[in-house]
Amino acid sequence: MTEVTEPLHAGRRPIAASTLALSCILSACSTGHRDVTPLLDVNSAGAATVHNATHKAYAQPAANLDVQNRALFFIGNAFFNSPWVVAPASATARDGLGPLFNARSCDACHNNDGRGRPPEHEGERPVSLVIQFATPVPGENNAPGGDPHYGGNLNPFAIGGVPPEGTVRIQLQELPGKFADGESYTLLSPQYIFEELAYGELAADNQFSPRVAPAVAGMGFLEVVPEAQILERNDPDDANGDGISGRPNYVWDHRAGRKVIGRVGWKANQPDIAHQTAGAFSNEIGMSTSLRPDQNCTEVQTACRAAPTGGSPEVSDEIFQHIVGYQQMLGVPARRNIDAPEVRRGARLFLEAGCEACHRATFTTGTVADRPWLSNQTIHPFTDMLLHDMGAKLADGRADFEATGSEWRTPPLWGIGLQQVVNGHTRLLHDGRARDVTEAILWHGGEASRAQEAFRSMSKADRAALLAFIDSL
Amino acid sequence: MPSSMRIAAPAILVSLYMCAGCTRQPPDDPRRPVVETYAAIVLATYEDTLTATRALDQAVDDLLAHPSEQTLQVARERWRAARVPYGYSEAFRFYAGPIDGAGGPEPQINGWPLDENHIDAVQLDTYNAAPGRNIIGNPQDFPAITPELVAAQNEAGGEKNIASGWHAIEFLLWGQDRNDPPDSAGQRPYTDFVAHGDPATDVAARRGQYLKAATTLLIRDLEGLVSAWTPAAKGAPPTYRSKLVGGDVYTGLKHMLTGMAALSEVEMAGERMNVPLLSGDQEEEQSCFSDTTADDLRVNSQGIEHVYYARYTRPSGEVVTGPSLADLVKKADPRVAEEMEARLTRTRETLTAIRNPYDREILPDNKDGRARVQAGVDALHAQALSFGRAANSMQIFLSDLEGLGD
Repeated sequence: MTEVTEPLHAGRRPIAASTLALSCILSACSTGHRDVTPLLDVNSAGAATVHNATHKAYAQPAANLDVQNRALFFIGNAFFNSPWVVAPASATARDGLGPLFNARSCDACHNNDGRGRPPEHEGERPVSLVIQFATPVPGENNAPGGDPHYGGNLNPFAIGGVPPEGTVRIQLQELPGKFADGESYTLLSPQYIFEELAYGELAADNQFSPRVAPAVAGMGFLEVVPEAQILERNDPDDANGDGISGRPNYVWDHRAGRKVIGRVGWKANQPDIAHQTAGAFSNEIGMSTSLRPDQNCTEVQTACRAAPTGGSPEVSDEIFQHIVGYQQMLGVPARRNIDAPEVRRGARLFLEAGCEACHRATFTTGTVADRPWLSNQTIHPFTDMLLHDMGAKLADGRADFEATGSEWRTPPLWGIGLQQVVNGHTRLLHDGRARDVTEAILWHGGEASRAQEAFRSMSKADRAALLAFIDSL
Repeated sequence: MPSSMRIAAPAILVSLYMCAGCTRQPPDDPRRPVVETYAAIVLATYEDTLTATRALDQAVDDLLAHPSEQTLQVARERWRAARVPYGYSEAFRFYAGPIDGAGGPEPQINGWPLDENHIDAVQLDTYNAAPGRNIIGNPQDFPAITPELVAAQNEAGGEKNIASGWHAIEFLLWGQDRNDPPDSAGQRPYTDFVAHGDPATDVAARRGQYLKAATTLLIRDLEGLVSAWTPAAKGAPPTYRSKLVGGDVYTGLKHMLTGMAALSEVEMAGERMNVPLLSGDQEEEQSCFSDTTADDLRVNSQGIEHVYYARYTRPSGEVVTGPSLADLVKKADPRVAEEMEARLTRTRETLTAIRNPYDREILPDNKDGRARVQAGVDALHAQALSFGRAANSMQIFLSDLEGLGD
């Protein structure tokens, strides 16, 4: 991938417009991609949109949820938030934590159903930042293979009598840069140093990938976008020459027993919420489920293997379904300030800079028989759910199913303007390295180089307008 | 109530400020006394909880000085008594007030489910075989058991255990409920507190130290709540109460209604009733060691009535009362008020019908017991809907359950 560094200028537009016109014919749209209207819809998730801008903005039941499902929502909410406990405990439905783990509850990482962050001070063990491991040769079904001693990811915590796997120290290197108007900025590039490793060395060819917990709200909608709509922008060879070559990941579905399109996770490496949840239970909380029945202990982790379990599986199918259902019933917060002139101007800039080419504004969900609140809604997630090469600087060098070490799924942006209120921080990107939206944009490389350069070249006022638009999401 | 009332209150405050030297002041929001009464009830409730918890702490001292069946029974009685005003106070949650706002003590006071295995060795067999792995049994890693240690072990953030508060004390006083005989609660013998030898390493002595540390920590947390709800002294910085009572009345009323609606729907109907019904797990009850969960639910609903009717009778007999939400709703829409009152009554009746012990009511083969719990769930859902209507009748909009998820 050669980096395109020349700024976006007016002369380029006719080319882009013609390719867009072509894709419009294919998708039968009439207004064209230059229309900012879909970028300024107050309802991010149709009738399911919730009007709440508090620290619980991501944690609300979908506004169009019926009474019965609303009751189920609060059951799932209870299990999403409560800590799992060490087996054996009186609360037998809730025991089986660990033996090795990163966190005791879903909410510990997805706090208020929001986004995690890397450790903020010296000596803080990572909780909502997980270091995933892999071997260069994929494991079964093309899934990443784990480290022989440490398994699929680093567990910095353990129950009594079991040594925790270790921890990681993050060393930050300052990378200075300048906007085109001369204003300077500093990005922080993280280096990871593993410490206190209790089970020997990591494999010499170990590949690791640091990933923060993404926000949960809205995943239910992405799960039910018809595959044909996702494939509308499938363009692996960049046939339309716009510099963007999105493609889907194809991952293993344990229930279906076949490869399916990936929708969830930083590399679209999970087919749905259920797989993502079972994976997190197994790898990060140390709880077994029917989907992932094994205990998370490697051959050399003898104390882990000998520890009492909380049943088989530790999370019953019924409770598991409540936790999955809860995530599917979460609403998405409504937009704010969309009538502000700066926000409207920012929407136009978002289009013109090419952000929308990957951060796709609109999908329409399909019909799901048992989830009427998710069905047939016009949603504005600002993701195309496709993988894009994001350049060497963001690469983790670790393949994940069909995603390469430099490919990432476009993360949804809906709700991003409330992250500070919900989670008390504005850390972004897969490892949380960006301290705010500006830094996150500046880290964009690879296919996004042109959009990044467009932003870097904007006047300060235009950058502020673009950020105001993103803040309205 | 006219819809302009929503913006009227801040406007009045601004004009009050601007005409500090004027002779005529515009009238204040007539609903302010409702918020003032609420604050008085909150303070009285937390004061009564603190008094009852100090009595519990005294009983713990007696138990540790003279362990016997009798001193253990007295301590258990005092725990039950202190849970009553605390249960009332749960109607003051869910709007990010002093109890559960950022850094609030709720997780430390009432965290659940308890990591009992992390606190003390629990019995072998189906339970564990891990002496020496828990805090009480591990003097090497935990040489001094202090309130600070208990607090540190309970820190939020996902990496810590639930090791403090009401349920930790309950576990230490009752032990695990092994349902033998079937109707019984936990059967911890008083001899668990009879120390032999070096108190730095003796398990019974350390168990006593843990119990005392937990009650001390609880008292500190309750003291913090009492001071947050005490009117600020003249010249002193404002307390939460003075800000709430002197602030925007709309916000104050919304907080009151949000607390009641969320306690009804999210906490009681959801977490404490629907979840146990579905899990069918006998100890999926929040007071699982003492088997007092049904009593917890009843005092929760009484606490809601204290707030709505603005009437709280203290153990001393003193009645804290004044202008109420019930008055406001009656004025705004008598039919909504009637429905609200009928539903509060229905909740009270259905919860009264739930039998002790709660862990047997929820058993999968106890059809009648489960039906009684289900009736309570239905009543609470209806009640939560009515709180929304009552709020709307006063042009107050409960768009968000702010405490949801805590």
